Amino acid sequence: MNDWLSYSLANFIPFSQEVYFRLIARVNQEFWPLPLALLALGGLIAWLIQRGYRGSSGALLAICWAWVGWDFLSRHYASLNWAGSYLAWGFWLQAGLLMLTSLQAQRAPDRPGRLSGAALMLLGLVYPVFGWLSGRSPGALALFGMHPDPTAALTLGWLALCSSGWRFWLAAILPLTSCLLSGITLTVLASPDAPLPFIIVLAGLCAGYLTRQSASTDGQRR
Amino acid sequence: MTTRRQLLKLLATAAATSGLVATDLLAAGNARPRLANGQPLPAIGMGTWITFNVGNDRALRLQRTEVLRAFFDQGGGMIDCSPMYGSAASVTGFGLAQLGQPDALFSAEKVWTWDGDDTRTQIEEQLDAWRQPAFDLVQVHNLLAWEDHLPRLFEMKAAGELRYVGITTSHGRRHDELERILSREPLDFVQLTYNLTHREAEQRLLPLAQERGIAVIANRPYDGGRLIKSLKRSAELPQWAVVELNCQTWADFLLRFIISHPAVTCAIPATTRVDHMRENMAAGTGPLPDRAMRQRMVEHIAAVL
Repeated sequence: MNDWLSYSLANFIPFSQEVYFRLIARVNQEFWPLPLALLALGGLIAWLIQRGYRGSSGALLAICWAWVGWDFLSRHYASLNWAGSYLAWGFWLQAGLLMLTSLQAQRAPDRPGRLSGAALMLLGLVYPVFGWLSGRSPGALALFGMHPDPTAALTLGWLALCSSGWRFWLAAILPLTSCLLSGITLTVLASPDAPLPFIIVLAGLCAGYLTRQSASTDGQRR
Repeated sequence: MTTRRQLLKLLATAAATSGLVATDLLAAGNARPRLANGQPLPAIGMGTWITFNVGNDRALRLQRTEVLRAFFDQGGGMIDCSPMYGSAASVTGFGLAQLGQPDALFSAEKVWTWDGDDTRTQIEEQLDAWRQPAFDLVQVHNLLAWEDHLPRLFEMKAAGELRYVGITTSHGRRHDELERILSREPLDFVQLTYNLTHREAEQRLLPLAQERGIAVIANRPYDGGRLIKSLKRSAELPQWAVVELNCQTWADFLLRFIISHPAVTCAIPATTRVDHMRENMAAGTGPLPDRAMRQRMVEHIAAVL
């Protein structure tokens, strides 16, 4: 155990910042203009869930998770990091969880839940702006439906709008974990936008807390 | 009767205490391992941690091939890799294929898995990535499951499937355990961190390796790049190093200190740049410091950092 404590985070990130950003750029470029279509799809998902279309929005979101797991993680990231193939399986599992979540009958969220959910979904859609402001080249910006972080952010917002209690937390585990790992990676790589995934984690935890509060209030009312 | 090793030690000690600038004799205290073509293993090799992990990026693969070309053009031999390094093995294999499989290659791989039954499987996977029929050296990476892997590696060596067996650590980890392993296992190589700011291995491990005839590979010669970048930013090469050791760069200074230790066989700096590779390789061709000069180098680095 003491030996594992002697390892630094850098020992677990076996690639450089240059290589990682070039990978994101190649992923974006390979099926261009698919990234733009997926960004528009993210907007559609946000619009659908705001109007209560849980099933269709959840199905579309699940497809996005499956796509990120296959294209970004399995086909590209796994070549840099042995953990990539395991993360890909996690994303496919998450796709299944989202499908199940979308089939559950859920209460409508109260105002705090709606606000936190909307904020997270917006964060997922405008995520690339923060990367651009931090100095990333336009090609290397992380986009919803192509990269884990913005996909996780929008998903946490979606969950806040249609889920609560243990269902929220179960489906939030992977998005939160993915953002935590991404924040650690960007920190080790000394990327200026490293804080952003950690902000998503905090916002997701707050959203989960608010849905829990809302569910408790509902229980008391009954 | 005095053995060859004892005689070499006596001569090396005499040369060191006389204050003369050492020749290669000081750095060749142990019988130097050889390349497959019979030539002695060059003292400057190369590492691939992070630097060669570029995935499927073809442009970067071609650029790393040029780094390899410079390595072999300047007399390089040992390339060190591991399954832990992502695509580094595959990128190395790509580059070696582009260069027509240089016969000066000394391939040094590692076994890195908890599963003691997976030794051979992992080696075969890495051979595929390198596009090589066999490795010169296979090492147990960071002592992981060494009790299971080492016996299997010795069996493979006896069967002629590999030439040398080794074990590695880095960052000064688990030196006590490594010392016990070196004392009792018939290892050919040990890899550990040794540089001008991390000299713990001088106390026990390097003398033990020398006594046991175990070749030593020094990893992290630039402390992961921090040491050389800091020196390049903030300090000039001392004039005495330029005059007496013909040091042209900090790479000369840092690497010659390492390979001048009588126990050290090879240092493995890593780089993504052709110009830096040429600097690294040049360090292996100049005069080496004697004991007094080495102490002066230690004091100088302590003063400037």
